[in-house]
Amino acid sequence: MHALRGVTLQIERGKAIGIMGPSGSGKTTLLNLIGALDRPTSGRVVVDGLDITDMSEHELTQVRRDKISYVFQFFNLIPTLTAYENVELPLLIAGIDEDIRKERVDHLLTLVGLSERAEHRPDEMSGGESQRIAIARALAKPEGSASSIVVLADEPTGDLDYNTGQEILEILVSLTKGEGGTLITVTHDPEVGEQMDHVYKMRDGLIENPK
Amino acid sequence: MSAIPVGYEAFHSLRRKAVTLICFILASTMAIGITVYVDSYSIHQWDKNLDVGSVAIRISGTSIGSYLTGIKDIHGITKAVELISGGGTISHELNISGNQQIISMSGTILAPDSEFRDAFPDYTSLVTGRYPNNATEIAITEQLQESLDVQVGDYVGLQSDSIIRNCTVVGVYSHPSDYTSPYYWNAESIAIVNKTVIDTYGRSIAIFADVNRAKLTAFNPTASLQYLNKIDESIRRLDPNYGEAGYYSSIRVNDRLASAISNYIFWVQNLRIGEMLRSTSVLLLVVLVTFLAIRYNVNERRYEESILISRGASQGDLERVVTREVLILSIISCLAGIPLGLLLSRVAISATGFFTFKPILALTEPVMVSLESLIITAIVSIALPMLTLGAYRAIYSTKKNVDEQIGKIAKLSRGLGLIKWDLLIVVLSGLLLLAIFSGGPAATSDPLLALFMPIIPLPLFLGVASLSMKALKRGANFLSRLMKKLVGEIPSSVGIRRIGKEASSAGAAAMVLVLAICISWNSAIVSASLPLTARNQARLDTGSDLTFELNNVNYPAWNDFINNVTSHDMVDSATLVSQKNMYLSADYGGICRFMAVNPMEYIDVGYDYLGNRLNNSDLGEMIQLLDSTTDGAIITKDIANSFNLAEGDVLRATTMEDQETTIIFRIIGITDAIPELPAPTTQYYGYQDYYRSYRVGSTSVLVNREFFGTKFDLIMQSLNYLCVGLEANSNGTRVAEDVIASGGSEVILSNTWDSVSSRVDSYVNNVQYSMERAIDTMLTVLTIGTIIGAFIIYAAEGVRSRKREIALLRSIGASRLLVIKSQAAEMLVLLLFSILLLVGYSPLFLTTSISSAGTSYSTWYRLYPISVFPVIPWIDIIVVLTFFIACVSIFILIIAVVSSEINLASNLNTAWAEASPYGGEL
Repeated sequence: MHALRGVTLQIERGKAIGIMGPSGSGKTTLLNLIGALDRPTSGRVVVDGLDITDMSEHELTQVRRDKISYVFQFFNLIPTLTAYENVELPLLIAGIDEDIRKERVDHLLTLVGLSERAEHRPDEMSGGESQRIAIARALAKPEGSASSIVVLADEPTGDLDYNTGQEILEILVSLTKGEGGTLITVTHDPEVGEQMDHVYKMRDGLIENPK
Repeated sequence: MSAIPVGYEAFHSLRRKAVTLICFILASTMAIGITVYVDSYSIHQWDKNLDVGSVAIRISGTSIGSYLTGIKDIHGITKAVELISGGGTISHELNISGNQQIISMSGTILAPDSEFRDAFPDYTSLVTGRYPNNATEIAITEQLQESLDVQVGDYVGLQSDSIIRNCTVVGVYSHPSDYTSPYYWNAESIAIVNKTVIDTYGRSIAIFADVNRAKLTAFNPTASLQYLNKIDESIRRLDPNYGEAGYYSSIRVNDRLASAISNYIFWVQNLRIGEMLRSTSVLLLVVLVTFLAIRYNVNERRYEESILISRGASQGDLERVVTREVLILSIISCLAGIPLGLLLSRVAISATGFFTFKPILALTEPVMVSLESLIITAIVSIALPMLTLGAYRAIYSTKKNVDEQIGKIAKLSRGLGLIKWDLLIVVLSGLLLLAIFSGGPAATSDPLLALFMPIIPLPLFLGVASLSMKALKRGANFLSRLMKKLVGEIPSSVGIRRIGKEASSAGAAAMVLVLAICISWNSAIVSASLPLTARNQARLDTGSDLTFELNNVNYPAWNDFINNVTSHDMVDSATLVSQKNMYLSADYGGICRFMAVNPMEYIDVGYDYLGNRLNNSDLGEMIQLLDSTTDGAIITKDIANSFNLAEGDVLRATTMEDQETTIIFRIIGITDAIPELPAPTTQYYGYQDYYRSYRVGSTSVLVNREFFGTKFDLIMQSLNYLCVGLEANSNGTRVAEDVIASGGSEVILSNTWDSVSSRVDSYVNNVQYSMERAIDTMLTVLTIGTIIGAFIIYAAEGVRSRKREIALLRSIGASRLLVIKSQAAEMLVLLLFSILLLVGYSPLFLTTSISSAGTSYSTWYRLYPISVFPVIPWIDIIVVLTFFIACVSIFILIIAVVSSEINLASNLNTAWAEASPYGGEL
């Protein structure tokens, strides 16, 4: 059974794109393919000019490290690490020097308004705070700016109350675009779609409203 | 109505069930391994015990002949015949040293008829000739033939029925003498005659019977015994008065088989219980792993339980589901444990010492699984998990979560509250151990304390381990910082910190590893120490490598004997030693052993209480002084303390005999113990309090034999010994046998001789000793299983959150190698923590367990100055450590590699990945 059937989609750099559709329509599968978490059985996936379809695992690791970020519905923070350490993690993996790392993490924590909570662990933070940390982590990339990254957000407000969800969405969109990145958000929520530059609707593995 | 349908849990979560089952199987494997090994080994004992000859039951009593038919009719009796016997004297004239003397021997004379011989042809074995056919013929035993020096065809005198007859010896027979069973009547008769010869008035009739032995099986000795008891009771009931007005039966039943089986049951049960008790440490290991398995099982269900509770299931329903699952798994583990235990028992069967094997034994030795073993295994396999589940619920039902208080005093109070029970256990166990050790050999050899000795280190271990686990949880961040440079940033922060997780089994896995290594080390050290202990203690007991007690009646032959001994190629030197009891006080209470030696000869032959040759010990220096100070005396500390004596004091000793002799010695030295000599056979040692223990080598005085000889006739008034020093690694038993074979027995008093090598041989060949080494080998193999079990639980625990973390790391660009490093770092720290715990705990555990191992073989009433001589077999210790570390390292590597192989998409996007990652686990 194919989750996606002949989807052709091209997203411009710096745009915020929404993908909406009922459960089982193939939204998450699409996101997984763009994010190099899954490989397509046929067709091609190109990210920032790089064809990742047939890349080796080693090359895919580099693409994930340099060009792709995720924001999940359930935050996916590492519970034994503090907020600071969670944000620092991608930079650590990329081997960024400590001074630059610190500067970058402090900057991102300030952007998401959680400088004061830097030493707290996920179980000491609310859902909204956790998601803000997840956004900061998504923007922590080795190049120092998010201009070449694609942030993939899967139901980023799905586990939050309305007000917090709105707040998070605003941060996500503004920060991603403000940092020069590209945002692709999967959502059920029509209000989320309203904040996107364009919303694609999916059904049965197909995009109903291609540009 | 239950909200959870029955069978709901049957096929859910295969991993959870598999992990739990593996851990449960360890318990059943251990139980069946030990019991089957004991069973299989005990088949030899069963065969030996039941080798009672062809007659199973001997029945006697008033008018017993009249019950013969009734006995034959009893179900289970296969044959029953009468045997007539009576008293008699057989005499024969011999020419001894030119004088004609009549030698007589009295004893039981049998008159078996042809029916008896047909029924029990092996009861007596004809060596030569035939059995008598008439009143003038007689068959005699081999012993009688030797004593009377008669041959077939000779005449002997037979006095029976007040008549002396001349009978022709027509045959020589023997009672089977190759039966080593204690139930066989040896030398029961001296002759066989025709029944007409037996004294009419003195004759006695007994009925000899046999039973259907096919019903006797080592598989179920209890049922076998019941079968025999029923037959015995049926025989007794043939007496019509039996049971009437409290009368006993006039029929006496002597059932050799029943006695043999009773003895077997007692022996085998004793052995099983003893070995189970010896395995307390391993049992604790298994309990720990079972506890971890239960905890893992319950935690794994938490999310599922939350969903079920939200849909209306009650807590009781859910607990029943868990109980049912644990019960089913424990029953499966019981069944699976039987073949595994059988295999494990083969390891023990093929072990001839600790980790020394003779593999062929695994194939050639019999296998037996008795009913009792199956019952014990069923109890252990099912009861242990169920009890552990109960304990788990009891522990966690009292667990309270309170709001964290942030004040310093509040934090301190909370911290102390967390560790108060651990501290209490550690302090109490530590004090108890300290008290026992400060009590010296008397305390460590106390039978009651000896029961506690092997167990005390365990609560101490639990306390220390629990404290360490808490320290590990609290100190995970510190460890992570510490290890950063060694393992790298990500492995240290992500990997190592997992150890500090609230639900982590890390500490428990470390405990299992430490205890397993300690147990294996202990087995290796005990295995190396006990033979040396036996040797050194035997040296103190024997006084030299080989000691003979000399018979003063044959004093003229002593020189030849000594020449004979010293000319043996294994003998290095020999010296005469005399021993006599004297009194140090005016009453009989001050009895004391005086050992008189030729100092410069004995110094090359004897040993001190540490097992060192005297010429290489402190006592040797005193003995050298004894050579120049002929009236000198070396006394033991207990004498010095009792009589308040010191070096330079005068020691006055008297004989308290008819012609009382008093000797005055000068005390030239005080020592802990003076070597003893083989137990004297002829001298009364005065009053001995058998309810108090005796300290070997105590209450003794060592004096100069030359000086001692000026006061007594040493030959006639003291016991004399030849103490022999052997060449290195020589066998004293062989020397003694050679000497005896060349006529030495005339000089050796009552065949009293002793050697260090014979004692050591008998010690290490003792059934219990061999079995314990074999079981230690088997349990060491099992401990590897417990380590794997504990680490599997640790690895499987929170496997979802672990996978999610790995997926997350991979999604943000971590290479697979980095992920493997993170997993490995976590377990590496766990391994290092275990080693740290091991370094702190193992000396304590080993000191205690080795002390108790030393006392388990010695008798409580015989205390040696040194109860055990510990030997640390460094090679074995390093091999064991390396082996366990290698096992864990390989395991770590496998887990790290396997856990890095995950599906990123499914692990990052699944809802349950977050729903119960750490919250709710206990």
